[in-house]
Amino acid sequence: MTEIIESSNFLHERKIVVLDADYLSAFFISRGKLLFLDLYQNLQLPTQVYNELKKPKSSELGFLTRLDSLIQSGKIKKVSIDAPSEEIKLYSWLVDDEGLGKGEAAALVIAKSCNGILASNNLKDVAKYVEMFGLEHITTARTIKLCEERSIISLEEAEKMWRNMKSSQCTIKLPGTYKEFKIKNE
Amino acid sequence: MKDKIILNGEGLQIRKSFGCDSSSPIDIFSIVANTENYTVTYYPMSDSLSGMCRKIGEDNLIFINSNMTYGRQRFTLAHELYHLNVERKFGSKVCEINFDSANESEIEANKFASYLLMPHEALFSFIEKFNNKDNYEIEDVIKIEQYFQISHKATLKRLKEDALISEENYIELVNSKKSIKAIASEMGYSTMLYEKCEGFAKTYGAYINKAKEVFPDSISERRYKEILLEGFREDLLSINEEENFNYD
Repeated sequence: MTEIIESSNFLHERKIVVLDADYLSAFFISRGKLLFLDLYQNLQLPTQVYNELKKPKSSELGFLTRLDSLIQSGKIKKVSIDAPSEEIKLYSWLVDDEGLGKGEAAALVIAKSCNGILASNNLKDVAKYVEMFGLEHITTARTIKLCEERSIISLEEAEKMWRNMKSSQCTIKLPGTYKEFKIKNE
Repeated sequence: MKDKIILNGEGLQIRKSFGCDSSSPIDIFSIVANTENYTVTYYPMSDSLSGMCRKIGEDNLIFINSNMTYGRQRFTLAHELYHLNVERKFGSKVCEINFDSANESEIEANKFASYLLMPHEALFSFIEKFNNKDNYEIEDVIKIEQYFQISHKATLKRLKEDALISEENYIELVNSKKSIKAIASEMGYSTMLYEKCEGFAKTYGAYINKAKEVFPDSISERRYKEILLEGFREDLLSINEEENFNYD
């Protein structure tokens, strides 16, 4: 047991991980373990993403209290883009010219500026910019896989989490079972 | 100050521009929300405000205080149309319920609203059934306001201004202690006209249509959802949740 705890400490990715709304909400809405806390040391939440999660529809899903408590305890750091700056110009370009949402644009810009990892399930709209900015990218599905492979959760727990996410109100659409996903992504 | 004949004429022109005839009651909410370049936002505002409007290029933005009665909201929309379509050199306006009596623009806008919703000839045609009676009862006023869907207060004011009722009759009707809502209900009418609308927030019209036009070619799904939420149209979000995010 001690070995697992020690190795899971070393497994904490030191790079900054920038959290996007859909990635976070998949864990919260399914009431699953917040695996990103186990994997990553440095979690940042753009203010625009937080504001998005505060809005009606999102806030009705009831996880804002939990998120606020993580921010207050320092486990997640709320960050803003400084103005004036190159980052603000990039943000404005993404929102005004490229038509991205404020949350996804802010997450991309902050991840780029700190050479961090973007945690987002939105491959459809941000993939182009992830490639353009040379960002590392993690999804909820891959997070579950990483945690299962590192024995932070068991295979059974991974399957349960997968099922909960599929049946809950979160927008993530997961294929089949966790096992099928794991085989496909070996 | 413009003469009422001119304001009535302007009301008829606006009706025509919206594809309406010169006499029928109009569903002004639906007409404006379905007219290109018009956006109407209903929002709960303070009791002192009825609405506001702004023209940005070709776009006409109208804000209605959704805390008011249905009848008052209709009247306010008609009032804002005066500022947007008839007044020259117009930019933006915030309209208070109790405005300064020397404010010509607001007085004209109110009169225009009355004529837009209840054109002169239409009113006179309707009251023919009253056979030129000298004194109106509450029930007569209710018949008129229910037909044209205009507030009780605005109807009384118009009857007096058009000399269809005397000053004494007007005062008698204004000071009546009877419940208009109760009488209207007894007469078989819906009381929606008199009901306060509990302050909802919603946007209709060009703002929503333009967002639909540019999605998904020019804006992301997140941006589209942001636009809907900022327009208080979370009811439209569930329609889009059939769309899948790509999974890994």
